[in-house]
Amino acid sequence: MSLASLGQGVQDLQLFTAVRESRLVYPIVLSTHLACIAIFGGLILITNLRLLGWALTDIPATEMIRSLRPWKQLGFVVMATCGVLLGASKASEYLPNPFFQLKMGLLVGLALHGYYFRRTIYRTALPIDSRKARAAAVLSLILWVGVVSMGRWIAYYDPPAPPQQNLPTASSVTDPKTTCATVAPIQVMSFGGPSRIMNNTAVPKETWTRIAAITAAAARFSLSVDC
Amino acid sequence: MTARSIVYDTSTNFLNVHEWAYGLTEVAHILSLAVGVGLIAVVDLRLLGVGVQRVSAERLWRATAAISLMGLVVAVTSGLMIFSTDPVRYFDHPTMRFKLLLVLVALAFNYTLHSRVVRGNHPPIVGSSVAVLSLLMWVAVVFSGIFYAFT
Repeated sequence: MSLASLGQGVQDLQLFTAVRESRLVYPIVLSTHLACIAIFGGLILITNLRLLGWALTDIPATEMIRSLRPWKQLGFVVMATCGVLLGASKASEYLPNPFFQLKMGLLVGLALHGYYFRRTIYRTALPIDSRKARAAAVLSLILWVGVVSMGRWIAYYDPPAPPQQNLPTASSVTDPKTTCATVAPIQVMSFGGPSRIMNNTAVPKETWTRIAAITAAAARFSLSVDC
Repeated sequence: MTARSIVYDTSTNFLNVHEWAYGLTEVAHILSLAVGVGLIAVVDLRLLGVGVQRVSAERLWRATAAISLMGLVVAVTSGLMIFSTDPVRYFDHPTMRFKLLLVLVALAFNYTLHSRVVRGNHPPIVGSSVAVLSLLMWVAVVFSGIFYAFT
């Protein structure tokens, strides 16, 4: 089973089909994902500036980390929920995409980073060793810059064109049976039809419980990982 | 002669010529936005009474203002570079016009009312209102930037 066909199975799930085909949910989720980078990125940045010793050195680093932790967790949960919705709704394109694979690799790196420095930096009550703090901050910044960059570049990858088979020959082409009547509504839907938050394929009740399940999973994860 | 008839061949723009220039500029735009807006958000959270509570909002603002300004300068510069790749299309698009206007308002707000309230001794309701307004404006800037591509 190829990555693309695995992704096709994921994105064909009703929830992800609904996100992909909706006129407004997809851009709303994408904007929220980006807004989280802008708002909660600042929390990661200020923590790292403190660990580097470049700002607010009169506040103990441990206290800074502790006071910002719930807000970082909130940011992570929102960002990850949106990210899963975005990624899974286009999984067949994304899984074989090298930029997406790199981004996932860097996210794994961030999780490992959090675990590695957990005892000495992120969850310690003792004063932090400044050399270790600098190492943790530099690594965190590199990994996050990588995650954001690769996230943006997912859109830049052109998959190799599939080999074309069974091209129609002049004699095999017959007059199209479908008339414009069936095509027009589709065009109206995609170019300025009625604005619907979810289109007809969406089943709102189940959709919300599934999004809640993704959020809950992200919340559980965020409690165990620091950044 | 209208502005639109000025001869400018976008195919000569550096960002349209070099394969990686556009992508790198976009990444710089997003990262610098995170630096500029993210540090403003840290101050806003403090104005709302949460986050780094050990020091005052003014102290946080003083510690982050220079880096935040650098982030915003890079964000605006890289944004204008992206704008220059196809200025007529960007300028004619209503969502992009809204975003440009909102950026100007948000920047003006940040360096007038926002910084004054942060430094002054105001009742908490004033600080909270300014913080909520500031956060909403910057989030709206991000939303309009994305919705430009979808509307």
